[in-house]
Formats: sequence, structure tokens, C-alpha cells
Amino acid sequence: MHIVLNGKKFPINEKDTIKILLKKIDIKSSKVAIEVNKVVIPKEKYRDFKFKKNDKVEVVTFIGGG
Amino acid sequence: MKDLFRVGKYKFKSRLIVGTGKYRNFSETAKAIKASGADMVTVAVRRVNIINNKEPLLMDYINPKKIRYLPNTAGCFNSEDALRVLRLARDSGGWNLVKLEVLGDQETLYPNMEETLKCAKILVKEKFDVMVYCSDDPIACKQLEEIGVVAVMPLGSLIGSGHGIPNKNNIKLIKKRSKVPVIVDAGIGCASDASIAMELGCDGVLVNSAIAKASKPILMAEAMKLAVEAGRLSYLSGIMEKSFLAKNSTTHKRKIK
Repeated sequence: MHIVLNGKKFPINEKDTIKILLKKIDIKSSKVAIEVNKVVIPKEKYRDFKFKKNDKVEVVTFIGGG
Repeated sequence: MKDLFRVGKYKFKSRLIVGTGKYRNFSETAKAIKASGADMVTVAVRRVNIINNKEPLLMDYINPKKIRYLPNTAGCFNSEDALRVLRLARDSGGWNLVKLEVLGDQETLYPNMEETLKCAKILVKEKFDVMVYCSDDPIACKQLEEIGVVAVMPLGSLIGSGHGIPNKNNIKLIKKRSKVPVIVDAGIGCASDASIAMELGCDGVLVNSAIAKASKPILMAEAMKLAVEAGRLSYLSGIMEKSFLAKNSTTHKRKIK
């Protein structure tokens, strides 16, 4: 199945958790925040949270800004 | 003299807040922040680059354990987007102190105060400590204070314009009536602008473009540090009254005749 990750279609297995997704894209959880369908998912849920088909997932970090 | 900068329950040594945008690279950003002496920097929230995850991250250069991150809502034009960004920012590292800015249009980046007030209310209810970019309007600033924000941040002039503070009277009036810290945000172009903000009685200054867009940003960062300190001391020392006519500095007593 697919999710929409940061605006782009992204293949994922049904059993994959957020933790597994972060491993796949090789990004540390301490450096990001995640929103699924406009709801923030707290870090303590990364181990258990599983995606549904077409979930809109945003993985964000801090960049320079004024 | 101990003159700590207090914002809500937070204390800072420096009254200069530095923005982290527009630098040539993160190494320059880090050096400029060090030279500025700032202990709080604004940061923006954006999507992680999934395709190139080896892209350097701001956090690799500026340690959030040493310098307080002030997440902002740059680029948000409505309260819904601003809320999403700040909820994400809070989850990312527990940053509860945030800078709200809801913009009106791309050309002026002037705050949309209706949306700003609406969003500030929700954020205060959600127990955020909110610092707010706003128009230099004493009534709007009062409304924000009544909502319960921890600081108001009126613009000196348009974001990134470098026009300084053309309407000093408004800033002075806002400061006179405000019970929360007043920080001039936006428009500072050079060090003397920062001094003026502090001499008007402001509690702090936020500077980004003036440092990042100077030919030598690290030197300008140091200039801003000194300017904010000088302006603050000047304000605290009690500035002399202006006089229409000259007043001689040297006594006429015992003048040779």
C-alpha cells in the first residue's frame, strides 16, 4: 500500500510503524516531529503507530528562519 | 549590573534574539549566533528532505540544549496552518515558548491581526507561551496582552526591509502601556536601529536579515550585540531632555575679558 509522505506517494507495508518508516528514510526520531492526517503523533507512539492506506504523513524538522 | 531579560517564566542574558534564516550556510549561522551573544534563536518548521536525507540539519550546528529554539510560524497565512506548525514544534523537542506570526500577504508580510488574535487565543488555551509578531498598533498589542500572550513583537518596519523604526511614537506608546515585554521584530537594518529600539524602552530586539544580509554577517552580529547593550544602558541611564535652543556645556564663570 501507499501513504502520502511529505506530499509524495510512498510505498509502505501494512505492519510498518512510524519507527520503521524513520529507519527506512534514515532519520533520527529526536530530530523530527510527525503529523498524520493533521494530528501530531507523540514520540512515545512511534513504536506502535501503524499507517492506513493513503494516510497523509508529514515529517518535519527545524530549518533556519526569522 | 544584572539585567536579565524575562519573558514569561523564562530568563535570558541577552536582549537580542537572532533569526537563523538567509545565511550562506549553517556554519556561518552558528558563528554569527556566537558573535551576537544571543541565547535565543528563531527557527522555522519545514518538511524533512526525504530524497536527500544527508542534507545537513540546523540542529547539527546549533545545539538546542545550549541555545533556546524559538519555533516560529513563518510562511503561515491563516491560524489553522500556524497551529499545526506550533503543535509539531512542541512535540519535536518540547518547545513551549513559541513565536506566532500569521501573515496578511506575500508582498508586505504584514501581520493579519484578525487571524493572529484568533490563533493566539487557542495557543494560550493549549498552554503555549506565546510571543506574537504584530502590527505596531497599541490597541492590537493590548488585545494580545489581555488574551495572555507572554510578549508582543510589533514590527519596526516590513520584514527584511531594513527600514528601521519609522514610527517611533507607536513603539514608545506600546511600551508605555504594556505589561508584557515588548520586542521590536522586523525592519531592523543596522546596529543603530537596534539601539533606537532599546532606547525607546523596548525589552528586546529580534534581528535576522540585518545580520544575515550584511556583507560580513559575523561582524554585524557583534555590532548588534553591542548596539542592544548600548541602547539598553542608554535607556536605563535616563536620557536627557531635548532643548530647542543650545545650552552651553562650559561655564562662562571666570572667562578672560
